[in-house]
Amino acid sequence: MNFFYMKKAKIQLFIFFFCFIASQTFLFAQNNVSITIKQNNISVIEALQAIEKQSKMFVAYNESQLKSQKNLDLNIDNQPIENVLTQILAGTGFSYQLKDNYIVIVPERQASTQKRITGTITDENNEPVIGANILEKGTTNGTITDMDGNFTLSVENNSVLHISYIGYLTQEINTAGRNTFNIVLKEDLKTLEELVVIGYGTVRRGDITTAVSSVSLKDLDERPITSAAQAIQGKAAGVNVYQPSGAPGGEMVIRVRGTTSFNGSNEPLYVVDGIPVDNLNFLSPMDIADMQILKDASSAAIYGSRAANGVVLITTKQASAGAKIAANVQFGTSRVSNPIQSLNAAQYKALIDEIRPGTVPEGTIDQTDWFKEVYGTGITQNYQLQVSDGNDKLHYFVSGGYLDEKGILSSAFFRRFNLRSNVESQVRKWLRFGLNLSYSDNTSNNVTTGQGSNRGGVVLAVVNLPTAATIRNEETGLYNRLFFGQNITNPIEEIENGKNNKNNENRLIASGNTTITFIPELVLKTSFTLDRRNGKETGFTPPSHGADRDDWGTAWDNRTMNTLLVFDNVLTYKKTFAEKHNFEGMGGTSWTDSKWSRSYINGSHFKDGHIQTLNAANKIAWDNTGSQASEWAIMSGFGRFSYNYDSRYLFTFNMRGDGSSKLHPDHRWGYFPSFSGAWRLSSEDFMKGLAWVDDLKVRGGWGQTGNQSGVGDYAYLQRYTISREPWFETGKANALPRINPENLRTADLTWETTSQTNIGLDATLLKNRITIGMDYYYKHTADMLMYVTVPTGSAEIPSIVRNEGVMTNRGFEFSVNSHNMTGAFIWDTDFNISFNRNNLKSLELQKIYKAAQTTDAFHQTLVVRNQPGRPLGGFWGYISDGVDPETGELMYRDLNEDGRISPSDQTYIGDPNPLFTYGLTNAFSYKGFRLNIFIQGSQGNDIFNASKGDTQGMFDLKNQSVEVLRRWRTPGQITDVPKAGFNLQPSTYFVEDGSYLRVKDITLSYSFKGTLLERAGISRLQPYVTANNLLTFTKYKGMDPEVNQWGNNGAVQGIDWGTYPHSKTFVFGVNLEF
Amino acid sequence: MKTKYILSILFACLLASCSLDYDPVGIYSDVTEGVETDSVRIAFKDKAAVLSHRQTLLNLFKNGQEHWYVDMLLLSESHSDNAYAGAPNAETTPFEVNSIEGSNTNMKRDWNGHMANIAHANRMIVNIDKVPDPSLTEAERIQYKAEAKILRAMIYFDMVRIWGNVPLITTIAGDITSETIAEVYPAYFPPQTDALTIYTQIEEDLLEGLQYAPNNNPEDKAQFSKSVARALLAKVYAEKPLRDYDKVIKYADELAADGFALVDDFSDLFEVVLTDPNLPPSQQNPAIEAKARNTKESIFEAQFFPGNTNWATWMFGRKLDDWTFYFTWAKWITPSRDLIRAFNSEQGDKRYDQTVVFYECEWSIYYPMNNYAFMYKCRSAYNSIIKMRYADILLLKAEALIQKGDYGGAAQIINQTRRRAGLSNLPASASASKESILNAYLKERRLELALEGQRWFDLVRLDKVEEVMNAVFDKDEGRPAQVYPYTSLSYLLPIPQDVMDQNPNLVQNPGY
Repeated sequence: MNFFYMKKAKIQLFIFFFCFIASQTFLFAQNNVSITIKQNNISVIEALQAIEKQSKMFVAYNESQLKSQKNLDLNIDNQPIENVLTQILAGTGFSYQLKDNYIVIVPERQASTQKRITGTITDENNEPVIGANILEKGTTNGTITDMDGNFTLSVENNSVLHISYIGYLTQEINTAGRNTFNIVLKEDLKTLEELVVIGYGTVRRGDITTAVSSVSLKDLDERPITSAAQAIQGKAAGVNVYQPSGAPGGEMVIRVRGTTSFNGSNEPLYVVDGIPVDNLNFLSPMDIADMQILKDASSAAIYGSRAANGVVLITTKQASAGAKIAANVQFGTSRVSNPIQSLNAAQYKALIDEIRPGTVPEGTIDQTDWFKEVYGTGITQNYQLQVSDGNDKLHYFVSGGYLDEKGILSSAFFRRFNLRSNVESQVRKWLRFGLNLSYSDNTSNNVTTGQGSNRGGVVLAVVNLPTAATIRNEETGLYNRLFFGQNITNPIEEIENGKNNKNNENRLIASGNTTITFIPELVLKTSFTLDRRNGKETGFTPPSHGADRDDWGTAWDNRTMNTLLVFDNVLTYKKTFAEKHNFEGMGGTSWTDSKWSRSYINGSHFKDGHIQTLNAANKIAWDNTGSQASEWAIMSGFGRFSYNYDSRYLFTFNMRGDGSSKLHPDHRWGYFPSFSGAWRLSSEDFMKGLAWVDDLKVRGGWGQTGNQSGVGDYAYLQRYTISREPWFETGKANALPRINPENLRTADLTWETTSQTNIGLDATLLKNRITIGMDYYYKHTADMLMYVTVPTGSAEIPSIVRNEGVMTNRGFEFSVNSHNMTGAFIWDTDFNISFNRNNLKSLELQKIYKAAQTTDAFHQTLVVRNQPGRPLGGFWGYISDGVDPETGELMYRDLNEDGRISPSDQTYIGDPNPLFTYGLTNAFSYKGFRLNIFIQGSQGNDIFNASKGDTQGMFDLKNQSVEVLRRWRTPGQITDVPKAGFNLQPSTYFVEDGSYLRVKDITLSYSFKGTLLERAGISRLQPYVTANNLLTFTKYKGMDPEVNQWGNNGAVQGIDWGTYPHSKTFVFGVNLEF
Repeated sequence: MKTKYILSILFACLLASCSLDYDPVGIYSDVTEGVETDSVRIAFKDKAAVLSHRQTLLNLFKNGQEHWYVDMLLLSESHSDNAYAGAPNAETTPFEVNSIEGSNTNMKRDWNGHMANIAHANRMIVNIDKVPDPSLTEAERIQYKAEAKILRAMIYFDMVRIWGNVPLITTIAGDITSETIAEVYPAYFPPQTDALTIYTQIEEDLLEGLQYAPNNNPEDKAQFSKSVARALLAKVYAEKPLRDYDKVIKYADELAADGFALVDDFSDLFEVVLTDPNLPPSQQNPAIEAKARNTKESIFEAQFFPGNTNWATWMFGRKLDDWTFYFTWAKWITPSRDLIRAFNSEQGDKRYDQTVVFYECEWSIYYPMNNYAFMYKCRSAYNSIIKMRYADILLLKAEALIQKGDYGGAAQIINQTRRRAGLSNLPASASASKESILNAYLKERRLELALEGQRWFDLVRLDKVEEVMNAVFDKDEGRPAQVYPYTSLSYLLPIPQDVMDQNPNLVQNPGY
């Protein structure tokens, strides 16, 4: 027992001793007296003294304990003594005992004894609520309701019951004088009371002073969602989520309030159950209980070092008392949604005759429908099972699942086994112990996409292959690679060979934590986490020999192991003084250590395709086989102080210091302060008259966050590459490796720092029907970490990582949640919209950065140009003025009018940054039916359709899309497609409006209810169907407006180049609970 | 008590893990290589580091096949009358039709490749004297520095001939920090220097190299020897800015004194050893080695051995060591009809078969598919890439003699290469006038050094660009239409646009 408890125990002993003495001394008194006290501003002690006087009873109390109590205004006229005592002691935490002729004032919990209570919990429609939590307030004593909504519980006499159930308002009910309860839970339309997880702690939603988005997980298990990031898409204002590729397991890009870093990471920090992780692949969305996104600096700053891009806080489902089994089974099929149609054999011949006459012989006929051969039906299966049980001391939660996504391109797949468990134990009254274990095993394979069809790109090859060709050479049985003299990837061969490739990662996250409660107000939480990942990439391309090829067979085997240790200590003190002064102080330390190692083998020359491991390779690559290792660490100290008066005036201050081993020793510590405040106007008297305003709060804050991810582990040092000397050459038997500089050293490499100012408003209106949130922010990123290249010549390797520039983002975001209709027919609407303006303010060394090499038609010309004064990602090229009716050439504008189309005529031709993005969810429910329609979109962004260069470029003998049927053929012809073999340059010809509105999900579900199910012990049986990506409204002519071949890149966005397309998916699933 | 106990354990754990000093475990870095005395950083910590870097310099040519070799052929052969742009596309066709712009990405990689090599050479030149290792002798220091200077001269000689005004960099710029940035900026973002100054630097580097570089090693022509410096000096003095024909003759003669001579059999320079020497090359009869390296004619070459071969061969024709490897009609350069006609005008020229080869392929573009011409001088992955050979310098001596009026002497030299090629001596009429001997000389150089990266520079040096190149589009029916006529502004190529974007202190050459 700790010091604080000992102190308390002593006081209690003292009271009993005192009582004993008292009882010995005063033996006279009468019991049935009435008391009258009429006095304002009277202290509790004075009131008790008055009772003593009037009742002639002895009142025993501890003066020091009651001294600090608030003064009272009493107007008691001739009341029984019990009533008076109750009134005086209300809210003091003390109770009284009447014995003979003395009154003992004792701390409340000593006052009563156990009793057994029973009750029923129903909803407003008088349906039993199953699985609602009933907790004796201030204890861990609790239970849950059964099938009929009934519960029984033994509680202290005057205890308060805390009744909660997800989706319903929490109630507190005093048990004094009652033993049976019929409780009606009201649906939770008002969310201000719920606790929101913030960095290293929680806060009442109503008391939030910063910009935090909560992601509604209500319908999560009814949507065919396989990654946590998908759950965020379109659901949180200011958070732009897109899936740059439709490949199975395709990673999502999450941008919180724009792009903050040019080369550094733009990913938010993911914190799962308090553990920072770099991605969410290992997590089954079913296991998520709660997801918060910290958007502004004042909320994220507590994660200082890694919070510049926002923080996604995820709490997984935790153990709870009461046995529960839940299962979710999904089965889905997907088809490619928007195929590009190719020319048939005759159309192809006509085209090629214009480019290279006579190449395609007369009379060629259609032989292969490449689209049919390559694209298939994708199949997704997802099985998740969760079990939890426990009592007031110990509870556990276990979940396991299997996900299998097979792509529309058959060799692409993603498979995940996931297992998660957590156990919590109240070992002692003051000591709580928890263990979280998570294991996942992901295996995936992809096909080459985002490449020209001459370099393995499958998506474009499907369009580029002449339908007049066959898959295999009939004579040799080998796959064809040359088609009418044109070298085109044979996608069937590519998929066939690619089948042997696999990327596997298994990941164990084991975390133990203890919570020590010194006194109820002071809590220390310590956690230690091991995050170990083992990656294994293997691949094999079989040998193939023929007249036109000698492929000797190649194979690789790369293995990585990454071990991350995280050690966190957080001490929290939380206290309310005089009811209205709420203080919280928090201080903590965090330490993270990472060790990474990799070994890799590459080999070639296989006898055949039977054995694919590298022991069967005759040549092991002498210069591409080896092992590597690397380490880094971060150490941090942080603290928070928050105070609010009556939840009316709120203030929070955070401070964090971080040291990173990746930065230069003299500059490795960064300090990130933040503060924020809020004013609840609705608590003020002048707002009382406005009945339609339930709650109104304005918020403001400023803070700094840091970033150092994206730079290498030893970025500040000059490092050297190692080149092997060919030891097998004559005279080199004992040659040693050579080393060469790899980069320029950065002797002052330090944190990238983002300062962010945020102003926001939260309102709840019309009897909690409407909740509105809006925020304006301004982010200023200084010392931006960049991979800078300087002109070659002055240093051997002209690249340096340094704190190079300044970038700003400013924006506005707005969200509204509305309960349009309540009652039997429920209609809810959630809408959010985000505006962001990005500006690359300044750079110190090189001022112009070009990026994005796409189709061969452009010959390595980079189409993205970034320079100070502009938003990131601008497209660069010529302005095209359409097709010249006389020549059929695409006309380019001679901007500088020098009579020659040269690089000086290039300019900005498009902007991939949207004006705004939005999400709209409408949910309707009626008698167990539930219909959910989720729409999401982006407006005002341009897409660079680089695929068009390959599918409509007509520069070689590749087949083209049917769009080129409109090509110019005769002088005088007016058309928008130039002649075959036109002068092809990156230009406005390839830039399209990428705005889209997409019906992302439509889900219909039905919850069965009835006695039959109850008898079978089933509490939830809910089948559902979902259509994914059913409809897309866009002017964009490519396959999909959402894709970006550059994925999660800060500097390049909105480029579509043979990217794995999104598919239309239909999913059937069942949720089952018992 | 318990609290204290717990807290002290936590604190101890935290302290134990306190250090953020993590040194690299898998790579060499400042930690292993850094030597810092009196705040001066030293690039090489010991002799081994110097030797490692010296090997890097010796490997530059073989590791830089794009800008040292492949692109030089595009620039000198496709951009002249010797070849077509083998696989027409927006990057190579402009060389063929004279419409090169700054946006050309081959130009960019060449600029950056050459500039990076300059920095490699400078690292040795600037730092070698500061190496604190006493086992590195004074003689070694001087020698390695001399070698690096020869290398630097060789690179600048190519650059100045391609672009004219380029930045002259002879130092290694210092660390970039927020404090030093103003000071080092000019070093990292240098303006151009005029061509004459560049040439003067080249001359200075070569003269110093000549003093201290090792003598020619007949067994290893991949070294920066005195003879390499002599050959380069001969070439430098033939160029306009420092033109001095006496010196051309002098250094050509010194090379002969070094032991250089024409090999007797022209094919020794390019031929391979086949599995079965009695059968023609084929898929079943692949090449297994180069016929010869380090011939007495070779002055400087990149060498490739089984297991560590050149990759460039497939860009030109068939790899005789891997018959089907990327074999199509589409190649980097394709010999022109004009070149073939030049060979055919000299019946029996043995060099023709060593320069051009005909295969059957699957397409007709420049030639009919059943008899398609390919460049043959690089024919297997074991072939050396010869950067300079004695025939080039010997012929330069003839050029010098012509300019000095000794037409007979020039004819004698030309006859040496002609006779080796199996041709008869020039007729007496050839040396009758300067014009006739100069034409005979240019033709001889064209045939002797065809597809070796010389032709364009010969035309430029002798001011023949407009005369020859504006005529060839009519003569050669395989050549696509000319876009811009060749003018005096065509002698220099455009500064790459991306390089200009990167360094705002550069100025584009006139005409682009």
